[in-house]
Amino acid sequence: MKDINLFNLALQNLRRKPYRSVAIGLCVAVMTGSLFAATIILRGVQTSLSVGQARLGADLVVVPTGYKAPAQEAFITGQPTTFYMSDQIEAQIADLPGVAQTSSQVFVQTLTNASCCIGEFFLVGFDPQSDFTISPWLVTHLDGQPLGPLDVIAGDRILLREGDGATFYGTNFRIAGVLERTGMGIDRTIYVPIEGLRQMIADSAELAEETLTIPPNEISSVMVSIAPGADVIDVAEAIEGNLSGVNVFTASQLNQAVARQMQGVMGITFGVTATLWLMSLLLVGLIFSLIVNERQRELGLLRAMGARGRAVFQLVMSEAGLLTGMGGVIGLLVSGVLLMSFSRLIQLRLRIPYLLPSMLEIIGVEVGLLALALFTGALASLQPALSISRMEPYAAVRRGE
Amino acid sequence: MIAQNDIFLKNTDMQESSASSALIELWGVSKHYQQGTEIVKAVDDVSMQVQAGDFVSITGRSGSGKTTLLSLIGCLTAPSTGGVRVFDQTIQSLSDSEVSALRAERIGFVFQFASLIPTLTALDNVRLPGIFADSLVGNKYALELLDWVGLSDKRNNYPAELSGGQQARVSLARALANKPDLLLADEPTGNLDVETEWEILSLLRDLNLSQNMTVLLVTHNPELAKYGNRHLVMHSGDLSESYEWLQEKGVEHA
Repeated sequence: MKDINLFNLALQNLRRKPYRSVAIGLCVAVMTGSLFAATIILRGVQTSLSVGQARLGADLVVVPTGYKAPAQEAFITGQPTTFYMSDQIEAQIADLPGVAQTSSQVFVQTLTNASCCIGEFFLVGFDPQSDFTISPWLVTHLDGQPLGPLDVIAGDRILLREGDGATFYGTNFRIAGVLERTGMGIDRTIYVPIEGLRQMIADSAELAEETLTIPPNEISSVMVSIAPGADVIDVAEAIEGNLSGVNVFTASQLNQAVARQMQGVMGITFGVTATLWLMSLLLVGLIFSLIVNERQRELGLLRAMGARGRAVFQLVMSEAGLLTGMGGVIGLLVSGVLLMSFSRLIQLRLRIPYLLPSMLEIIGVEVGLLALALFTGALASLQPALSISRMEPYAAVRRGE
Repeated sequence: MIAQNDIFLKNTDMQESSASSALIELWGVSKHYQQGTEIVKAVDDVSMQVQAGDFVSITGRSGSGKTTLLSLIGCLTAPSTGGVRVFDQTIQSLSDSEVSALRAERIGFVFQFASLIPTLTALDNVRLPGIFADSLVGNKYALELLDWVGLSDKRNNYPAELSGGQQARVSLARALANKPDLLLADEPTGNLDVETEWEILSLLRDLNLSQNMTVLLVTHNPELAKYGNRHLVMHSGDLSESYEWLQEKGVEHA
């Protein structure tokens, strides 16, 4: 050993029983990794919701009766859904007091593995003239050129970039812009100007393998922006009260829907993680009691060589710290890699909006959890470390014989 | 010839004397243990003095209190009653840090069953005490010690790769790492063959004679004990002069 010191001595001691050390480290790794994943997913949902809510741009979304839940899910996860209502609804909503702006959208049935894009995504028609929800969030767009009927806007996860061509139902489109990432359904959506969408529907019978049958006077949803000073709930009630066959949901109800969805999963996750932490604490405590017990003589001999009680305490605590610290780092690394690799799968399986929190926040969570892992080790080994450090050297040597 | 009362005082009321020139001084020292409901007197009212440069052998049957006495002298345990004075310092008045510093810098221990740290090489085992003292033990000095015990070629071997005798010699080298003034050896040859026993004894005598190091040797072998300049016998917690040794030295037993 190049440098002989308490830290290196602690490291050497851990190598003595590799299987036991690995078992403790693994236990702490699972605990830290699970907690990291649960925290990042939770924070990812919260980040996505706050970004998504801001990006939604509308205060209210009006959909046909009975389609509130699927519409919310489409907004949250990008799960394609189709439902239609008369386009007269939009004009009627616009006439109601408290309504400042309206813009309609048409949802087109699922597109799976189209020639342009891999996987399932959502095709939505929108009116560029009245739109106030999509265009403001373009991260890139064709400068100075007005959006033509065949110029579409893609969500961040469509993997198409500005200027690319794409064919949907036999009609060729051009990507005019890409939206900023939200972690919500918007990322898996392609927005097509209503004029181009109508053309695509009309041409589908001739050009596409599958014919689209959406009547030209039907829409799927109306995005509503309320006038300054108007109350969201009042306007929503006014819409549902005055118009038949529609349901209204607010942007904040999207959050509630997600919260309901998340409650069960996160409850179980945090419950399991708390149990894991408690088990880690007990396991590390038990094993360190055993370690100290079986090494009483050796620790007593160190005292005979002149080690202060404090040094023996530090040695035991260092071993626990090293073990739980290394377990923590491994848990964070593995969990981090898995989270990054399977974030889309997690989002799909859990049907949640998910946007990776900022790097600063992730580092903050990692530091916090590493501190928790170290604290677990310190707490678990405190009693055996104190006990051996306070024991008379002679008693330690004799009891260990 | 050494006068009896200079080396060994039994059951006296000797008081602590700051003017004493003895390296080790015990007065009325007892060490009791609770064993179940019974109180065991491991050391019973022992008083003694050891001068610097002495080589004291202590023999006695198993359980007679030899190791406890050595631990009291080495500040590894506190007496139940009485006082221990080592290097002009009364142990009971020192803090844990002060006692530890005393052990680290002035006392070397060699235990029965070499007790080397299994994860450290022979060289690192010798360097180990340095981390508890003010100055680290350098590789050069550790190698010199290993060379002195005849094991410089085994410097990179782990304890499991050494024989019992080699481990005992490394243990002796480790005890000397911090250049102590007092060496306490508790049956360092207890589990070794006769030849190795004599090798270890020869090293201890060399230390005593050439370095004037004070050595206290606990041994079960009366033959080895003869090589000290004093020979004490423990019996059920009592310490007394060896009768044979007194006769040999021509000292009249009290």
